[in-house]
Amino acid sequence: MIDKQPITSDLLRGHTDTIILKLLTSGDCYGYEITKLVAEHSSGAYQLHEATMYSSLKRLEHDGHIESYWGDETLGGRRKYYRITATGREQYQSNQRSWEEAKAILSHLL
Amino acid sequence: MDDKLQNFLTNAFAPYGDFPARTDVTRELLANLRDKFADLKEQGMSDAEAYQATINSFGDVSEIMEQVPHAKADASAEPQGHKSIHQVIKDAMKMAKLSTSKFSSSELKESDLSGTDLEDADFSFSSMASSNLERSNLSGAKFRASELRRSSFAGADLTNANFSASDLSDVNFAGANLTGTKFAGSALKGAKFADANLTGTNFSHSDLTGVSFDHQTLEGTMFNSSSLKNATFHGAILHDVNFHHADAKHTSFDGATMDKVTYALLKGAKAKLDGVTVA
Repeated sequence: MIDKQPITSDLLRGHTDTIILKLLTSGDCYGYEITKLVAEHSSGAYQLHEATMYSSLKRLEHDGHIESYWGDETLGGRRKYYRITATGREQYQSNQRSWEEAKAILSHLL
Repeated sequence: MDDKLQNFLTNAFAPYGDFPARTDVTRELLANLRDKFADLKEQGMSDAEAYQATINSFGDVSEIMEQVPHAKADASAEPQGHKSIHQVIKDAMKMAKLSTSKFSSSELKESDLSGTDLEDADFSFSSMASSNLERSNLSGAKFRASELRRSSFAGADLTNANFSASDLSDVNFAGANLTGTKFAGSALKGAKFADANLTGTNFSHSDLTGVSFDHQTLEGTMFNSSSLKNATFHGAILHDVNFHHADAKHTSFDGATMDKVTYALLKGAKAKLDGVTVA
């Protein structure tokens, strides 16, 4: 089954915002592209649910870390693209630092 | 196939009625689902496989609604002259003949779904405490791991329905048809079963503390590994009932009638069987 999640899923889910910010630092993405890239970059180990991703996108947008715009596809449905903002880049750097710190602490504790 | 994906989203958001960003939210999500579906098809899946995989990986709609402003699913908060959210859901279900619908992981507390045709509907992982499902057709419905305490299923048809691992404390099943219904691993303390049809009902691994099965006719009912502390079967007729590994030491069978096999099983479970007639 494609939705079979490893036990670490909850642990990874807590980092969805940072994962999405990181993806957007390398270019604008639309919804399905994000879930697909997450699966590819994790070699299929992490399948981001649509609902989890969407909820994260709305939160990031509300906080001003990303912006959205509708694409101009003529064939099929139009896609909504997301672009990272300057504060989004700062947020990513800060999350990245927090993670490094947490990793260092946990490596001593676990 | 677009229709099916659209329907899936419509059903997933049905419990939230109308909310300001609804068109925007569903439009974007539909585009995502379409993209995913098309991609899976390209990888060689059939329509049916790709559809299933697409909706399976959708996740929990309540997670989205935490980020989207919407009216609370609470009837009393509705403005005067408007239909309550529960009425909207009920009407929508009736119109769309939502048998085989999915309401899994839904927030449906205190819903009134009485007298509704919900055959094979899926309410798994939903929060539905104090809901009214009286006289509804729920045959084959799924309520796995659902929160249903104090709800009423009086007079409902629950033939072959599945309540595995659910909280059913103080639920009313009076007069319900529970033929082949599966309650495996559920909490049923305080549940009422007066006049319910319990033929082949499966209560294995469930907590039935203090529940009354008085004057019931039990045919092929399964109580294996269930907890029957202070439960009563006064004047009940038991035939081919399974009590393997059940905790029946403090269960009262006064005036019950049962077949030899059931009697032997209960004897093995150290049940008190004075006043039982073996027939």
